[in-house]
Amino acid sequence: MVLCPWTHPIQGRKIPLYMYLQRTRPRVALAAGFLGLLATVGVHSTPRGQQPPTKPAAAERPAARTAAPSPAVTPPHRALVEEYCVTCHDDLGREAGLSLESVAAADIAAHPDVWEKVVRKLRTRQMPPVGEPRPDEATYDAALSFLETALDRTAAAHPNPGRTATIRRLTRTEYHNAVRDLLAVDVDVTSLLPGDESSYGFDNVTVGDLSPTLLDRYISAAEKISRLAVGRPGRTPGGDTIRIVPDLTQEGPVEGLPIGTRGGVVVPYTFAADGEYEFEIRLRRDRDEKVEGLSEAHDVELLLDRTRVQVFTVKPPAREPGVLTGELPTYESVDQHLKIRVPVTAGPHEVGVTFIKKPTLLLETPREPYQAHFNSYRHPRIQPAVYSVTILGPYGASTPGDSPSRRRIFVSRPATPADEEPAAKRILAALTKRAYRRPVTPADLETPLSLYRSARKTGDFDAGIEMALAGVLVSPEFLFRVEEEPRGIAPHTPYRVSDLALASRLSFFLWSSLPDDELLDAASAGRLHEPAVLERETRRMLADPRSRALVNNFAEQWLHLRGLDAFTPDMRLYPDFDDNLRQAFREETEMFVDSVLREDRSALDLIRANYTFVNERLARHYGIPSVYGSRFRRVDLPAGSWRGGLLRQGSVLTVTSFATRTSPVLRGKWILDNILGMPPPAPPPNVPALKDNTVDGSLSGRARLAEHRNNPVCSRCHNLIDPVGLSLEKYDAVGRRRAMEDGTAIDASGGLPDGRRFADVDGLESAIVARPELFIGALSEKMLTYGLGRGVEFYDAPAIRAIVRDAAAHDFRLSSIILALVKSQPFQMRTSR
Amino acid sequence: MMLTRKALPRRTFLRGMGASVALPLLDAMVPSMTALAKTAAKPVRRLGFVYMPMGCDVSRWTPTGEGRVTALSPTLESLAPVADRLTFISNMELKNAYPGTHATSNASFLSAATAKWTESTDYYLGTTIDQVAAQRIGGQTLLPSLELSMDLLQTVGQCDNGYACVYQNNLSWSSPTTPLPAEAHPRIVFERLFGEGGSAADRQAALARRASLLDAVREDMMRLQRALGPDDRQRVDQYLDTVREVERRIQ
Repeated sequence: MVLCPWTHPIQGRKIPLYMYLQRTRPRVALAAGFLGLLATVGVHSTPRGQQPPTKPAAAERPAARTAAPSPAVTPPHRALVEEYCVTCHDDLGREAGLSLESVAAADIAAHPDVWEKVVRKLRTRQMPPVGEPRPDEATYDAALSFLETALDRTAAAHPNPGRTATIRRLTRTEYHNAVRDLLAVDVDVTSLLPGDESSYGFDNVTVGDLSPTLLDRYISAAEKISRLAVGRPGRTPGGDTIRIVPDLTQEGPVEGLPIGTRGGVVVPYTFAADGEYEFEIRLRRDRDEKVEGLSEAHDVELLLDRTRVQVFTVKPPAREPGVLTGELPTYESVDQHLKIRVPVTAGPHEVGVTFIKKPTLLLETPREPYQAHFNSYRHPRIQPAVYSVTILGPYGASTPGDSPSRRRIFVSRPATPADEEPAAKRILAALTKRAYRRPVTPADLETPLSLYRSARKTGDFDAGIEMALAGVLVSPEFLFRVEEEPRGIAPHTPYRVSDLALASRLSFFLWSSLPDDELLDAASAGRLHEPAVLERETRRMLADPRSRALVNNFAEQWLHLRGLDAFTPDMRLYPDFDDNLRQAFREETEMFVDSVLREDRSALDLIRANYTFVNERLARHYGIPSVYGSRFRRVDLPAGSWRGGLLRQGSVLTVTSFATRTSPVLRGKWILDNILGMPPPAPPPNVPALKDNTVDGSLSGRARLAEHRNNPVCSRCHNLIDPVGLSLEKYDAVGRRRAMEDGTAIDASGGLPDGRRFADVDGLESAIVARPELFIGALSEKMLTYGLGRGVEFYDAPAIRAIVRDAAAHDFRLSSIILALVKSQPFQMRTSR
Repeated sequence: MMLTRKALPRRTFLRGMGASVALPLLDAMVPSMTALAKTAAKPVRRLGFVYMPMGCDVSRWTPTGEGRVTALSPTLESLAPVADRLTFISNMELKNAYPGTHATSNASFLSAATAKWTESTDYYLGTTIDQVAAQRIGGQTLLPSLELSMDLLQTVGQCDNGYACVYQNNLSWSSPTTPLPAEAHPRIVFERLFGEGGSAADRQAALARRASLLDAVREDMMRLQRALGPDDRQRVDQYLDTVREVERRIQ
């Protein structure tokens, strides 16, 4: 690299000569003439690990350098920093706002925040940047080992477990699961409560709010849920309409519906009480109000728990004889007869609406045989489809019946009127203990009992319990998790959280739900923090089916799967995309992560696995042969397959793309953030938009991003981000494998910020797996953020390192990561205000 | 003010004073032979917009003449009982609705904005006038706004010459990027407005129940507050403000 003598080597700005001389290597003899200066400036060969010979000529040289002792005495981190880092990170240059000049010689314990930053950059080999002189691996490791040991020692001597917010509201998912576990009733929370805002990638961080609208919704939800759970019929029959998304293809079989049917929907629905319920079905219409795909008679079947209730025949509307050809038949009455009233018992049932499958003749359309069939212009429906199912009821006289929720709530029934209030007390005591997640006192029961009494005046015993239950569901003791510090504790003092608080932390981390009785009992007895008990409980909770929340909630947020539902690719460029594919993407990733969790595999298998889960729709999309049917099944992939592992799954590849094209930038950022724990810096405030239409559209994606590389303002960050995503360029915006883009062959060479270069996804995966501590460290940080509900700070780094070390001894199994996390200081302790 | 269980002024208030609540003004609530202005429930002024997608026969719609309208046009004859409260404005042109396709017409009806020409998820329009009003005066009623439709037709993909279907399917937008879907199921709309329905007494009972629950929330929150340190008490104070705001809304 040839340098202008006046130009700062990295920043490219002009600096005075004497300053430049202080910073270039090798140290030049000022006694030499100006030409001698020019001649030696371009040389960058430094003997590694040695202090360069000091020259007395420059008067402003910092004292530390002239007083440098021999290498044997200088600690390895100081040697590294002074050799490679302070060129840019000195008090004058302050590259990226960081100066290591005075910190280098100081005690590590005095500046742990600075040194943790250094450790992160050194461990990921991001610093010194590629293109600058860099130490060899041994030097890196020596410095890192020294630093990390010192930092860990400091942390052990002065623990800082951080501080979670004192009051945190349940997220919508946690509310759903808590209601499910408390009352054995499954409610649709998306219609009851608004979503929560995300912070640090998770929605359980900024949850200290309670707006009037939200409180209003909580009250409505509490009334509705308590009515449903107690099973007391309302004044008028209630109802729900379930609508199917418009881009769902309904030509093939649906999982959960019997063989011999096609299309339709399965709706798990909780029926409030025994009684008669009316079911109404409507068919999908296009924008001209015609029922799509109805050219001949079809049979619609209504099922309850997979048993046929009724079959209806729908026919296309007939033209009346003698009508003038100008008038079109009307489709209004085609599905008006699709309704029926049937008796249903209280509790959860599966309602199915589907069509009887017609013999698979060659249903020919003049268009290319897409798998998607839902759009009347591009790929019309060949057969009619269901639009909505409405369930109304109960009609007539209805009795509460025997439902799982009633059995859960009514642990005691009053034998006599005098026994009513004691029975209510018993019922409420059981409910509040679980709902409030702690042993309850008679004072706790006062509020629910007063609500019971006020409702009992005008209603029966069940009505009283229902009102009291609504009060429990709306109580701040249920809705909020409160972690109070011990009275009289000194400020900024770490303390062990109480066993009850630990029980909640555990259950909300592993189950996103309430602690169960066994966990609460261990906590109430004050034994939960004992290592053997803690490990036993954690393993028990991981084996419990409720730990699926780690897949549905943690992994869904960590991997950005929530973006799937909002993603609709450009219909012209990707016509064969429907909701079936969208849901298949999600199902594949969830089943895959679940398999790594249940089978207690190494977490590295998330990257390098050679198996995946597909159904026919997804297999066709991926080009995996010989998979038939709507059921998901595990498929072992042959060597050389382009599937297997998170980085090759349609879900990840799709949420990191735009509607019209892939985005190497989004993909690069996703990997750096979620997989490697080296998030790229935020863009500067005045970045002009990448003008798509000023770049030749026939260029490849890589060529279109040329501005990122050519403009030095852009390239300092984008040279770190883009190459990571470019290695995935052979997967298009909906996850298909491709070799060409618009006629040009795709170049999928890329690299990581640490300087490693590779081509295509297997190179990327090998690079990640070769340095497992990066991925495991990133995963641990994400888990800790989710498990604690606060962002991870520099003082958590020793705990993360301990988790990674612990997991390394167990092959990085997910269970070992989780166990180490649960035993870690940030999880077990908290700092007082 | 400490709320004791013995004195629950609001519940008594509700029972004693009748329907002093922000319900839609229904026939049942207006005593017969009473002028509207003198009813106990002071009507809240509301704003409504009705969209007629295919338009109308303008020659039979527009009343003749200018100034005070003496004779209604054939289409509007059914409005005769309220004719003295009607104002007709003609010669209006919604320029941003051109070219007048499904997408552009529906989108600009209440937003007067040009829809961004895109089929993808980067659609952009503008806040519609009904939502601007909802943000200003919506707090005066139980629900800030209601979006209703006769039939729910949701198409996906190419709805209209390169426009995303959201433009066609949604008339109300609460922000340039947030469409508000309409509700077409009459029962659901009814229950949103009136809860369980039934008589005025039933609705009163439902509101009384809600008020009881709010009291319970407040009592529990004050108990919680007593157990916390001073900094966290401030946070609970904010929650108590929220409780007060919700109580105000049902009064």
